[in-house]
Amino acid sequence: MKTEYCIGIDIGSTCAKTVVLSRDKRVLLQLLQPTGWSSVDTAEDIRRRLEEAGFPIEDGTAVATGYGRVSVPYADKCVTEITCHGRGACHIYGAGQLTVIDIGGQDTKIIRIENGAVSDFLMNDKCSAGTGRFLEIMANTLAVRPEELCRMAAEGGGVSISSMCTVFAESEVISLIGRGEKRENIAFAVVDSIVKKVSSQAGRMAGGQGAVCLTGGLCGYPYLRQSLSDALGCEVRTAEEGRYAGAVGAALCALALEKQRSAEK
Amino acid sequence: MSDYVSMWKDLGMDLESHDLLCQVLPTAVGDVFLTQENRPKGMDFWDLVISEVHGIRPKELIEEQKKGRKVFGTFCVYVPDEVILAANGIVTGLCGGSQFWVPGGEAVLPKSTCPLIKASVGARLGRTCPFFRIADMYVGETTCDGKKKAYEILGEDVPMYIMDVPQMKREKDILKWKDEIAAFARKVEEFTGNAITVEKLNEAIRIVNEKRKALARVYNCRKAACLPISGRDALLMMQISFFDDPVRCAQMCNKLADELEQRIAGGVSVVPAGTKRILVTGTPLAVPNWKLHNIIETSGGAVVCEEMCTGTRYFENLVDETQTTLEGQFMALSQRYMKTNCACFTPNTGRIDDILRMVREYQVDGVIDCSLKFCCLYDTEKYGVSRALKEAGVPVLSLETDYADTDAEQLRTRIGAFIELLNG
Amino acid sequence: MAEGDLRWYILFANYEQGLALHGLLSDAGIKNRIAPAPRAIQGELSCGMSLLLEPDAVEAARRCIEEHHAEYHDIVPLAGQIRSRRDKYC
Repeated sequence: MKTEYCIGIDIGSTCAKTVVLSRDKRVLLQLLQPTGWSSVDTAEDIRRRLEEAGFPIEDGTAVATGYGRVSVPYADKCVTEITCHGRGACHIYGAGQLTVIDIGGQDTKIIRIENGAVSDFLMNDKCSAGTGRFLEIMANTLAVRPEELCRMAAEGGGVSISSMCTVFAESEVISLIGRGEKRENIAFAVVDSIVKKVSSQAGRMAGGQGAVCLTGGLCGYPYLRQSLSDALGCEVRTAEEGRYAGAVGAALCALALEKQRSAEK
Repeated sequence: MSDYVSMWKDLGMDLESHDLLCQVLPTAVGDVFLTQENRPKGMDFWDLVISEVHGIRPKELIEEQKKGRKVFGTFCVYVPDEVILAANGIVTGLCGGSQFWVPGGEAVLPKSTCPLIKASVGARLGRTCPFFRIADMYVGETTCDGKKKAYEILGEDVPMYIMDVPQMKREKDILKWKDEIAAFARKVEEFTGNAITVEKLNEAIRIVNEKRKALARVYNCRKAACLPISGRDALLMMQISFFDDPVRCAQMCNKLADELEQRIAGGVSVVPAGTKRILVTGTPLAVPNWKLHNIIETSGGAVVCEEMCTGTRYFENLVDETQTTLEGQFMALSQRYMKTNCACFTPNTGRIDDILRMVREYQVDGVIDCSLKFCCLYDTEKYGVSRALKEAGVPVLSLETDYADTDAEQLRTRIGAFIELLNG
Repeated sequence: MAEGDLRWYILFANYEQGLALHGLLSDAGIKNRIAPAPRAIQGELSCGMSLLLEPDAVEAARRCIEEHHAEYHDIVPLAGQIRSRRDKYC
């Protein structure tokens, strides 16, 4: 049975993203929800939501990616988030040569793309410094939402956090609050810390042609993007759909899988 | 429990703790090896050995000790087995490959020590491995810093002899290693009470060369486009060859090679056509360390070669069998062993040459350079290895891991992405 | 045969018995594999070697054992012993 649409499901450590693409690669549906405790339950919920939106799993080809990819029993295939973020970024940014910086909930990836395919990558998933988790924890400590922290950071300066470790950095932030430091300055230090960690990681994969692009959950924070651009010495692009790059890439893999299967028949 | 339990008791082992290890090993073996289809019939031998890993061979060693033979435990492929065999001694490789033994090592060693060293120390001090209890003397070496200092602690619990491995490979270092081998020979003679003669040493050299050739034959079969044996099975064979009787080892490996050659002729492959061929390089994979191979081979890859001590470095290069004096033989041994390209030496560009050569010989699609945590030597060499492979257009993935299970998902993501990259 | 399912293990007093039966079964075309005896069913036995059978081979194996008066200790079922992605090494 020929399918009219392809489904990409990116179950990340923090959020699950779902994208449905038409055969000519237009976005038909985009879903976002917290991953929560159980990837299996989340996968089931996504199946239900897809059905309700008029895209039942049975009539499409689905690829799962992300941390929870093995928990999607109805997926036709599992592909790693590295390949999916790479493909998704190429599609979103319309380019075949890119360096992708994906700042996720619990890990940060730098992915090098040549000719539309992944040629190299570097992952930091052993330490939460430089990830969304770091931002979330510090925002909590300042009793604001992450978006607000990034807005405040733009108005701050002059303070830095010395700890590499998230746990010790949190202690530092508490001390700074305790001694009356301006919240904007503390916010500045938090973003600065993330930018330093990420740019150091990206620096190890320097020298590629093409643009540097953001994907992942921190795409929507202009100050962070600007800081990263300053640290790397080049313009870091972002896009609204950047956080869906993994799911878009997974849907594109599903499309390729479906074409391959049709060709084999 | 009968036979083996009384043997373990007599060896002074901690039976309760040892039993915990006995509980997890069968599951690991089942998961890694018995999930495979169409394994070579010859693997029966190594399946038997691993099923009875703390039974059959330890029992054989004890029987030999009753006849007056001495057992030497070694930790490095630089230590010449031939010298020990020439004095009617027995060699058993002792490197620990299990997380089970690591906490025992961490009681006396810094946490930031390589897990192989921690496991080796833990296996001895925790009294949970019969091989560690049986060996009459341990032979250590001045290779890496971690081992050098760990041997001091281990040496308080068991007779220990340290060989001074050179840091470089100049003419004078090869001469120095020859002298170290000669001194070791004297020690072995004294400890065993047997004189090492030219004839006995030549015979020993011949036996070990035969074992090397047999292992090489099996590896040669992995060069074929039609892959007759999995990386997991080849690794098991390699790991067991470190402590099996050398004559039997050569016999069983030759038998396996015969079967593999037939498989290649008959087009029998253990993986589907198009499976990406991976060369694994780096720090050794001591038994029962199967994590990396299992993850690679259950993620769409096939391991066709290991460039490491538990791999090509163990059997490449033969010792000259034509020497007629002990002096000449010691020199021949030194010349052969000093060709081993370990990161303990500087420079070590020979390793990069080896890797590039093997990429061609084994028709490799991608290289995984994996080192154990806290191994500064191999971790630093990743830079040079990566650069050379990139220049040669060979995809490479650098990894670091330890013996724990906790990073399996992270490894699966990286290795999975690497194989997806190879598949284009 | 799905992973983690029920399988049967032939246990022995020593590996010589195990190898002997392995040969007999293999010659009779009955699929069997050498496997470490799972600790949970090993009981008082010392021998670490067992023979692994799929459920559909158990009847034929019993007949072969009887026919040859082969020595063995017991044939025991156990589930969940084989899973390639369990990722629990040792």
